[in-house]
Amino acid sequence: MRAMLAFTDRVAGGVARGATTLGQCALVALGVHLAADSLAGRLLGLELPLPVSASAWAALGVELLAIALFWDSFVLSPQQPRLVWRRFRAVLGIRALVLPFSLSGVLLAGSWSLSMALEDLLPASPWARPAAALVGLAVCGRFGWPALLRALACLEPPKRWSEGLPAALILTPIGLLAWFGALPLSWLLP
Amino acid sequence: MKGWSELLLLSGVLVACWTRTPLGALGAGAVALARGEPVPDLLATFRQELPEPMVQSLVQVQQARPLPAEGPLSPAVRTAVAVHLGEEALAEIEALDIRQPEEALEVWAVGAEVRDRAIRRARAAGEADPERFERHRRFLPDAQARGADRAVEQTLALATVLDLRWPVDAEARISSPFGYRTHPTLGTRKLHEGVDIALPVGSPVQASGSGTVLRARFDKVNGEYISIDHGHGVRTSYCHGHTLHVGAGQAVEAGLHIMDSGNTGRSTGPHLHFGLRVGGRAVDPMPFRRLPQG
Repeated sequence: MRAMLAFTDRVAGGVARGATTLGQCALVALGVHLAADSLAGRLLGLELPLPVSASAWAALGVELLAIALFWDSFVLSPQQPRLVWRRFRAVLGIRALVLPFSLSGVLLAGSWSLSMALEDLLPASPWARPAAALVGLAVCGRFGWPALLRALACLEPPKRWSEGLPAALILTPIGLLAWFGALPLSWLLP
Repeated sequence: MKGWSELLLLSGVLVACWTRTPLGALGAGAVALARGEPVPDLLATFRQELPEPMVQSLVQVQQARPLPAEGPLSPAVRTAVAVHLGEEALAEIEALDIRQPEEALEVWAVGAEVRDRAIRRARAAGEADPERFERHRRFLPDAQARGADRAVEQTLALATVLDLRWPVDAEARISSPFGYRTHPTLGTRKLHEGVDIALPVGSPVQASGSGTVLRARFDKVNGEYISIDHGHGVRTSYCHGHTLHVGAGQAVEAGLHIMDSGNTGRSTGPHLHFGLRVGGRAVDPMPFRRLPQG
C-alpha cells in the first residue's frame, strides 16, 4: 500500500512539474511575441526596399530563435532552485548579465499579454481591468518568477569572456523591446 | 483548491499562447494538416501588407462614380467606403456623426469602448501618437484588429489614393507605362514599378498629396529622388530629378513644388519616374490620373 502511494505521489509530482514547465514555456512564448510584434513595427518604420511582409517574416525568425534560447535556459534546470548570490558572482559573464534582464522583461510582457487577452474576454465593467491585472500578476508569480530562478540556477561559469555573445545579440534586443516596447511602462522612458 | 487554481492559470496561459502567437499558429497548422483542413496564416498575429481583396477594391475604385460631399466625411472617403465596405456600411458610418474618418471607421468596426481600451494600452506602452490606428492596432483583440484593418487601413488607403493628384502637367507624355518591360539600360525583363513621364530638365514636380517626406537624396539608380508617405500605407516616389526642394522628415501639402525634373541616376533621357505603392505593393498610378479631385 505504501509503495502504491509513493508511486502515485511520484506520478502526480511528475505531472505537476511537466504542467509547470509547460506554463513557463507558454508564458515565454507570449512575452517574446509581444516583443517581436514591436520589432516588426520598428522594421516597417525603417522603410527598407523589401516587401512589407519581409518585416513580419524577419520578426518571426527572431521570435522563434529567441523562444528556443529562452527555453534552453531553464527547461532542463531543477524545478525549485535556491538563489545563491555567491554562485551568481561566480558565473558572471555576458549570459549572466543578459539573461535576467531579457527573461524578466519577456515574462512580464507575457503576463501582460495574458491579462489583455482576459480583459478582452470579460464583459465591460470597472472590474474587468483590475481582475485581468490580478490574474496577470498571479501568472507572473506562479510561472514567471520560478522560470527566472530556474534560468539563473542553470547558469555555468563562462569559459571565455565571449561565451554567450551570439545568444546575447538576439536576447538583448528582445529584452529591450519587451521592457520598453511591449510593457505598460511608459513612465520609465526618458 | 491550490491545484485547481494552478490548473486554471495554466489553461489560460496555454489558450492565450495557442490563439495569440505564431507558435500557437504552428500547432494549429499541424492539427489542420493532420485533419486535411486549410492551414492558418503563420503571420496572422503580425501586422501585414494589404491583402488581395484590397487590390480588387483598388481596381473597382478606379471605375467608381465619385460620391458628392455630404455629411462629415470627404467625397474620397465616402467613395472608398462605398466601394470597399458597401453602401449600407457608409450609411451606418455617417450615422455615427464622427468627423475624423479614422475614428469613425474604427468605432464602426470595433466599437468605441474597445477602441478606447486599445488607445489606453498603447499610451501605457509608451507609443507616441497612440490615437492613430496604426499605433494602437496591436492592442486590439486579434479578431477585431483584422476587421478594423479592413475598415480603417484599407478604406483610408483607397481614399488617400483617390485624393492624389498628378505630380506634373496631366497632358505630359507617358514615355514608359507601368508593367513588365525590357529594361532600357540593363536589357533584362522586369516589372517597371511606376510610370515614366517625359519632361524637359527643370520642369516643376509637385507633391501628389499631403504627407511626410521619407527620403530626399541621391542614389546611383534613382538619381535625385524623393519618397513621400501619405499615411495608411500609401507612398509615392519621384525619381531622376535635377534639384530637390524638400528634405527628409519635412511635412508637405498636396501641390507643393518639391523638385525640378532631370536626367540623373540610371536614366536614358530627361524624365520623371513616378511610383505609387499601396500597402507595400506597387500599383499603376495611371488610372488615377484624371479622376476629379475631392
